[in-house]
Amino acid sequence: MQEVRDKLSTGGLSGDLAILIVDTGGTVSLADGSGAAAFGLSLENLRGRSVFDTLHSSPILMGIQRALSGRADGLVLDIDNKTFEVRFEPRAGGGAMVLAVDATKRRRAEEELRASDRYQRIVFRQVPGAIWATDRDLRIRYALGRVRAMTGVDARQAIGMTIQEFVGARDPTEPAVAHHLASLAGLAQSFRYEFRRRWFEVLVEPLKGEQGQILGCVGAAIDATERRAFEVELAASRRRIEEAQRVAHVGSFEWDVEPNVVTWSDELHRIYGIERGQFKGTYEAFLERVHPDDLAYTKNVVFDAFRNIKPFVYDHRIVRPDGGVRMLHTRGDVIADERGKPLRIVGSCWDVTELKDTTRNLERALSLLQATINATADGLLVVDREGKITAHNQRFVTLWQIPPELAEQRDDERLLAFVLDQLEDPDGFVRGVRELYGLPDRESFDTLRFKDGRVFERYSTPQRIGEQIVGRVWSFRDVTERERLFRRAVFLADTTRLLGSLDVEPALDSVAHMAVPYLGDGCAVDLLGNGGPRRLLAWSRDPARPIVPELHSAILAGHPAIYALGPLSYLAVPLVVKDAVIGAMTFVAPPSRRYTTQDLELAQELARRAALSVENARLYQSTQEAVQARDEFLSIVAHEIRGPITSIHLAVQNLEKGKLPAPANLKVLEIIERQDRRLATFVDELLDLGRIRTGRLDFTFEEVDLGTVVRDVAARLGAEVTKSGSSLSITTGGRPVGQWDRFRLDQVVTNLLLNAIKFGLGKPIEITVRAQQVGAMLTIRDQGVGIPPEMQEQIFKPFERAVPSRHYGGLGLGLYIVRTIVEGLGGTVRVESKHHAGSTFTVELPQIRSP
Amino acid sequence: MEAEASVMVVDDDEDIREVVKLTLEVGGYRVTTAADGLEAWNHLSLGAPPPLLILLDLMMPRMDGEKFIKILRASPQANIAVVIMSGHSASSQKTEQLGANGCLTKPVDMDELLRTVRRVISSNRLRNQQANVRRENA
Repeated sequence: MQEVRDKLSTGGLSGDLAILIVDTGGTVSLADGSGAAAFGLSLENLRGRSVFDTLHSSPILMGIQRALSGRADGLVLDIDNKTFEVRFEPRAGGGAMVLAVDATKRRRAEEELRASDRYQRIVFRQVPGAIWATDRDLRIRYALGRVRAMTGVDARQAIGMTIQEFVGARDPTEPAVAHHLASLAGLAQSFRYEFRRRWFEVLVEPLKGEQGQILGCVGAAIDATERRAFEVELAASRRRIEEAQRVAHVGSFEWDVEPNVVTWSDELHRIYGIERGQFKGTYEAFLERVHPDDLAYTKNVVFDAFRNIKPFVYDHRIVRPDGGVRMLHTRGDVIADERGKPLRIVGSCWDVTELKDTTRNLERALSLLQATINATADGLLVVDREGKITAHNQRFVTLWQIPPELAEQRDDERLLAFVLDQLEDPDGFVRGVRELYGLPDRESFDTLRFKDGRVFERYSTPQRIGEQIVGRVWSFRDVTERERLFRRAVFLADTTRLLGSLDVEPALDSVAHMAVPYLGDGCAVDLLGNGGPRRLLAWSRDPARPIVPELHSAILAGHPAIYALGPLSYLAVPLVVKDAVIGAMTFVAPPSRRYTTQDLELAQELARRAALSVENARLYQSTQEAVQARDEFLSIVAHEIRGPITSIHLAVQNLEKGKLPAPANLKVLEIIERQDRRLATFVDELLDLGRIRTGRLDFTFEEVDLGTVVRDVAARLGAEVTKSGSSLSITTGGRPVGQWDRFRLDQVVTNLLLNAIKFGLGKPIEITVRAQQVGAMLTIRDQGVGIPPEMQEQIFKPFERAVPSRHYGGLGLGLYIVRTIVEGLGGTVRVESKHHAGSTFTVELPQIRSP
Repeated sequence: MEAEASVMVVDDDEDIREVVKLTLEVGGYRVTTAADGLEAWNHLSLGAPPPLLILLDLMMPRMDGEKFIKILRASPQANIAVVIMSGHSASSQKTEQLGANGCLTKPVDMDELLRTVRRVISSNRLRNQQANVRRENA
């Protein structure tokens, strides 16, 4: 035990202490002390018992075992908030000794001391700051902290420097210097200070002695550079958010339900058109500003959000104080407590008035575009860069006669095949399209001709979004009718130009050639003249298949006709001049074509022009003939007048000379009188001709006996008849009386009788006058030179004679005057004659001219 | 004035024949007449004494003046002088072309008629004499 006591005393141990002595077998031979807690068992429980039984596998047992095997050891045990220091030592002579001391208090004190040092070190190593103390000269006497890291100055070097030296400024107004000086005056200083490009929050206070005297300054500085930057960043960020809200017209709100406090952001105030403070900040105050029409809806939305505790989105209108209405897009969320009771509603409002307007305008523009596209006469097709169809209008489907199911399928391949099948030149079309896909920005124009005769114009232009070409718009217009009218106009213009020629037959020939193949595969032109129709030409496109159509019977009646002969379609139009059919044009269609009324109209127009041309040429010819006839007439007039003048002139000169024998004087006077009469007759004839020409041949109707007129004329011309060697017989039957013009009728008989005398070759002349059922008939028959058949109509025209004019005297107007008078009286005159066998002129007069 | 000089007047206008005949008779000529070329030719070919000169109208029925001259000039009496007396003017060129010896345009002045007839008869006689001399010399 003494040994133990020594140990205890020499160990300097204090406090609670416990000791165990264990023999070599592990049995506790001694247990004593107050620090038995270290063993976890009371000493009584340990005494006399084997530690292998009592301590089991505790660190104590392991220490005892090592000591029993001759090795000393120690350990520190924390048990029940107490710290024990335990030592194990082998005993001389076997066994082991265990000493346990309660070191709790000492270790704690040691620990605390160590911690304090460590904290100070840690604090000043980790806290971005420093503390210092100066004397009254502002010389640094103490410095601690990150002076070095912060300033690049070693704290130990700083000690002994003045503040002025440290900051590198002698100026007392330099902030650091100034604040230290102020604190020397007893005023605590707090300021921000920038030093070597870092910001510090600095506190400088007077350092006071025990009697309150100021010994110097004590300062502390914390590096606030990062925080300051963060603050600056935060402020900027807040400004940016506000700016963003303002620009986006997004405002935010918060409604604390229980106290009914509604808070609005600045932008929300702006959206509502009010100043901060004007909004009373309650739910009801908010509702007051909601558009009346949207009020119930708004309440419903809020109610639903409350009931279901869920976010909400809705659009509603508000009314500004100035009456302006805005559309707001509001998102909100309900915040509730753990029992589901709503506490707050937070959300944002976006002023979408402009957006709504824009959307509406866009919708309107789209609708307008759609309506326009559908209303246009053009077929429109929009495809993307790959040629896939993106849009088309109804007109496109109609124009291309695309079956509805094909249009809906949007199967580009099938659609293309369907389209190509209709074209005259599908390869050319495909080539053009392919070329355009290689040139996306190219605009192009083309004309498409269809197998069935339709003609489309195609226009293609790139589809752009901004600068980018995204596809191509194809526009198709049916110009068949326009093309038809154009070709028709060109055709008519060309043919009309040709028909302007006075050489009608070559012109008609050219026209017929031009009409093939435009109006058909073949064309025949017939002219009707004396002796029936005469085929002018028949022209076929294919010479191996000549076209010789019969003249359709309708033509002769003046009607156009479309008719079929065998498999072919024919078209015939008459050439009509002044209601008389003068000819016809007949066209035959190629086997694939059937004539339509449009073709008929065109052919009729052509026929009208051809007929006009024919008429023009005839008029020209007759004008030429008339001019020639007039020249001849004037020549005859001159000759006829020169004759009487010669006779009269010579007769008068003979009388003047007075050398004539007496009997000759009488003869000469007779000659003068006769020739004078002859001239007077000429003049009358010429006057009559003038009257006839100007339509001023007057009639005086009275009851006239034609027999009397004939006898009067015969008596007057008796001498002439005798001189010609002819004899004259007159036969009268019935009483040939009617309402006629006596003087004009006298002219008729005179002319016819003179004619018979002149051409009668001195053979007998017979006149017959007969009353008829309603009128009278007069025939004058001679047996003279006669009139060839082709001249029998001509003799009744002015300036025409059946024999060369130079053979006979007279103006040749006699028969013309006869016919004019007879027709003026409502009658007719005709001639029957054989060449060299005489002529018979027959005049038939109605009793009275029908009105 | 030369006695026995005879002239034939050929014209289809009877009054002209008559008044020209009277005028020439007053001028001292012996005058025969014909109504057209055929009648004139008949007179000549039937052996009537040939006139020294024929006054010939051109436009006549049956046989016109033109045809008559052709026949005359082809006949043994080709040397008879012919003066055309026509209603158509400007026939001097035609006169030569037809083989006539002179021309008068209707209406004819009496003095001019007589002067022309006298001049043509004398110049024709001279020519005929020269022709006879040539023939005798030949």
